[in-house]
Amino acid sequence: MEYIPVIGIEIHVELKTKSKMFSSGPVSYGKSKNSQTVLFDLAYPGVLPVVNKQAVRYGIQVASAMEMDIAKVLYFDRKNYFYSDLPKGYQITQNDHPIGSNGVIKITLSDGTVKEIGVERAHLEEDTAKQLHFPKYTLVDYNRCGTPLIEIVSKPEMHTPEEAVKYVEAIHEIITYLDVSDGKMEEGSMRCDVNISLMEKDSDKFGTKVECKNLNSIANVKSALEYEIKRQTELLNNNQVVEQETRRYNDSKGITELMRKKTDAVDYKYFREPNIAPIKLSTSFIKDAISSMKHLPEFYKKVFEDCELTQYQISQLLPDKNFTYFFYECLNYEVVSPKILWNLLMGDILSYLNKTEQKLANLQINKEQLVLLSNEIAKQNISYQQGKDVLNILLKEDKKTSDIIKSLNLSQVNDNLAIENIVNEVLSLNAQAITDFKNGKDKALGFIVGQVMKASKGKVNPEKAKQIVLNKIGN
Amino acid sequence: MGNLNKTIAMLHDDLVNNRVTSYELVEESCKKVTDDTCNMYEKKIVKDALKRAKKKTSIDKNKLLDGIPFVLKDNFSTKGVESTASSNSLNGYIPLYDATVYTKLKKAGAILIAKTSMDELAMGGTGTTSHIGPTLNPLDKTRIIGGSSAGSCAAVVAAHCPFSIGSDTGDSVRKPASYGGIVGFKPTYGLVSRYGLFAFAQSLDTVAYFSKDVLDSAILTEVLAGYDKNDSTSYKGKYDKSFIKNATEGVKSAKLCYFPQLVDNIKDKKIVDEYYKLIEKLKKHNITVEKCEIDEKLLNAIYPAYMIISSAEASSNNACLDGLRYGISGDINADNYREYIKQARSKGFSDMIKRRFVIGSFSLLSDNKQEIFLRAQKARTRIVKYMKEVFSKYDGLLVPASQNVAPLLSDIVYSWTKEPNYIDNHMAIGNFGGFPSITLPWIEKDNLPIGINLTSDNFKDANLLGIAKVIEDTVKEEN
Repeated sequence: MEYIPVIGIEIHVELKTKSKMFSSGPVSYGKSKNSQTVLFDLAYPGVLPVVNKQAVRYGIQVASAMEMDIAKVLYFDRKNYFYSDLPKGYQITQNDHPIGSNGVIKITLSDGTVKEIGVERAHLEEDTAKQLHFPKYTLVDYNRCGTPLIEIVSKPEMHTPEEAVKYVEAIHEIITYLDVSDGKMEEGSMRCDVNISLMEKDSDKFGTKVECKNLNSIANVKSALEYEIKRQTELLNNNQVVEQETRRYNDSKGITELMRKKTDAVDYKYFREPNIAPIKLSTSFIKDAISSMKHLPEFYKKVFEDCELTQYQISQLLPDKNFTYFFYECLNYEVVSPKILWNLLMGDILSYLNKTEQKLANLQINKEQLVLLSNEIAKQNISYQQGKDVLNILLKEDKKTSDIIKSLNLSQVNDNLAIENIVNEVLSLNAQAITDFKNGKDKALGFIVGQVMKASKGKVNPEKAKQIVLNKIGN
Repeated sequence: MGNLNKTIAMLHDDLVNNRVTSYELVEESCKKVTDDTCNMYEKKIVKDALKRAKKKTSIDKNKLLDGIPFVLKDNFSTKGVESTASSNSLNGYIPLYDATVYTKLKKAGAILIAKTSMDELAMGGTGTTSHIGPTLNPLDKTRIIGGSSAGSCAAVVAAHCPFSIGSDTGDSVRKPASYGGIVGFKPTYGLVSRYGLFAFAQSLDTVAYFSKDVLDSAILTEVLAGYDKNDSTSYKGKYDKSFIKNATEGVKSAKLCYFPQLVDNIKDKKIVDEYYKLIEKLKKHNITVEKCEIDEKLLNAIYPAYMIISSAEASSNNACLDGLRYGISGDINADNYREYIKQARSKGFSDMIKRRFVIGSFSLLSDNKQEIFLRAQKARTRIVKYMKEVFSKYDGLLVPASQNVAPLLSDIVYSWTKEPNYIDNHMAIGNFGGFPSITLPWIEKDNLPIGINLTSDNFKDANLLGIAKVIEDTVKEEN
């Protein structure tokens, strides 16, 4: 039997506000335990919630980015359950009227097809405390308690792990570009729960849903789904039933493990939060929130397409907004060849960052000088190889590209006669390589051109050298 | 000694004219509080009060409460002073902050003498379910004073202080006021901040207060009303603030109404006759009181709707009392948090509270919510909608606050009424709509008081106090 996976995703995003969702407690990360709380966060008798306006603005922006219907009136509800990480005994959330509903996320699959994934709802709520479990006891850190969250719930409209991954990436891009969240999955500021069931092909009956938690990277989303598809397929093929349950992804084993059966499900006894009167969102407030939105990836994609980067190149830039912003800012200067600039950024600068364990955001490099360097290469005044040497200096010192080129005495040899001389010399020393080439070993050509570059100390235009070598040893 | 039989306004006059000192008032209050025989208090802070009174060497002429002693219901957060809301679940809980109401009273110069006993967590109308036992009626110790704001009411009745603060969720200030023969005023929901008031049912909870007369209620409203950024339901908009002016001068005229069932169904026909006598007399003061029909179904819905909504909210509001961060602890031997919470809550709450939580939770379960909780909400909405219609035609609803004098302690039963009588519960209408509502001294029967209740439209508090002033004068004339 063939099965079609049906995947729905719930994403919790911590909002980067100064204070908490319903209190003046600070929102911070990595501070000492239980130092970032106020009375409300600990649910002392008599405290009352006050809605964080900035969190509402962020909520509107996220909803707008997903083309959602934005609520005209904000309502909050209580979700009641006893748990040691929930001091009030309930969480204030939006059950009946989410701030955003009925949205859509466009994803581009690897084969180029564009698919729209429906987003059912996005609602504001507060985070719980963090628990630190020890063998004989549990400690509670209330710093996180009350941090604003927006929960984004997709429709069950994804059918492959790839679609799920693209969806999560798209949400990640939205929240990071809007700058409403750090979106760090490994630190929990963006958390994914995935629901997956299998549907028989040519059927319209949904299978039993399994929820997977603890997916703290996009790679884990993919492997958890792949594992679950395999596990559920095997169960069904062996005439066993898939049980409705919550499973935890075990990163080190690459498998999902049973957390709890759904039969233990809690009845959350939702009701309207009486301490927050319905809040009318004025048209001007909504408009203002939307007009102050930072550009979404779509905007940069168009800009990059206009300067003729390939889809591949664009797809490498967009996932990390810092690279997008860097490249976009470089375009303020006259860039002769965006592709060469892209190579410098995504090849050489990226590998430098990796090697030195630095972040692009912290990199001190003069973008104008980088563009000038890229232009020197584009105009064939220096070779790419030489350009790398210049870049190495630009990365470390605040110098002008033109001065570095002068001081290194760099220039590209484009004169055919000069190149031919060097080529002749190299060929006379590499008879074996010529024979190899003639016997069909294409690699030998690269070797010979490499030798030419070496002999010229990288000054020769490699394209021209290649042409001249071919002329001499080709048919 | 006997200064504390006077009103706030009179005491203020005595204070600024040096006929008495704040220390003398506080000393008298402390003595009476210390000698209390009606079980009114949870926590007495007389030493501290005397210390503060000693420092008060001059009285601010512009602060009517300056130097005046008062008591506060134990469900208000008071920094450094144990606050239990008369529940074992909060034994040993010493708050880290002051309720806005207390902050404002301190700023106004009033001096806190004690925290008063109440029905556990404000859930009850008898004042007999406190963890320290029943509060008695100072007018007759075989009787209850009513609740839940029992100690606060009894303290003013016994003249331990000229005013006190309570809270009113169904009629928790206005009913005891009737049994005590004093004024009990519940302002419009949102007029006074609830920040620091321990939650019972927050869509109904209102800060309310006891005083000797209408003017004192107006003085307290002047001090306590106002937007508080810590309470999102406190009101930011404009409203008539001439509380004191109205309570001094009285209104020139008003058009009131009554629901016939709430008068004519009172068993004691003498009380019914008294009512019609009163409205006859009010005519002379240009206050007309007309009969206004109401569907009996709406009246019958008050009690069940109130019990369901308040219990549902209470079950959630009090979920924080899990013993994990404050309140009851020790003696608990649990392997996991669930067991710990279970033990803490089993020990912390009396059976009557547990019953409310169970019923409240039950009504919210997804299988029952539509049929129970949402139906109760619908009933509430319909009642409020009807009252809004009434208030579009009338300046207020005037009806007896209780159908009899304070019951005997020995007559109190703790099972839920199977056949509720709306005459006993109608004042919850004020909480359903957040309407301002005041109980005034009215008649006496067997030397015990019965009050009359006036309810108006939202934020018409000043007008209500003006009407109440005329009724107060009319009633006095009668006697």
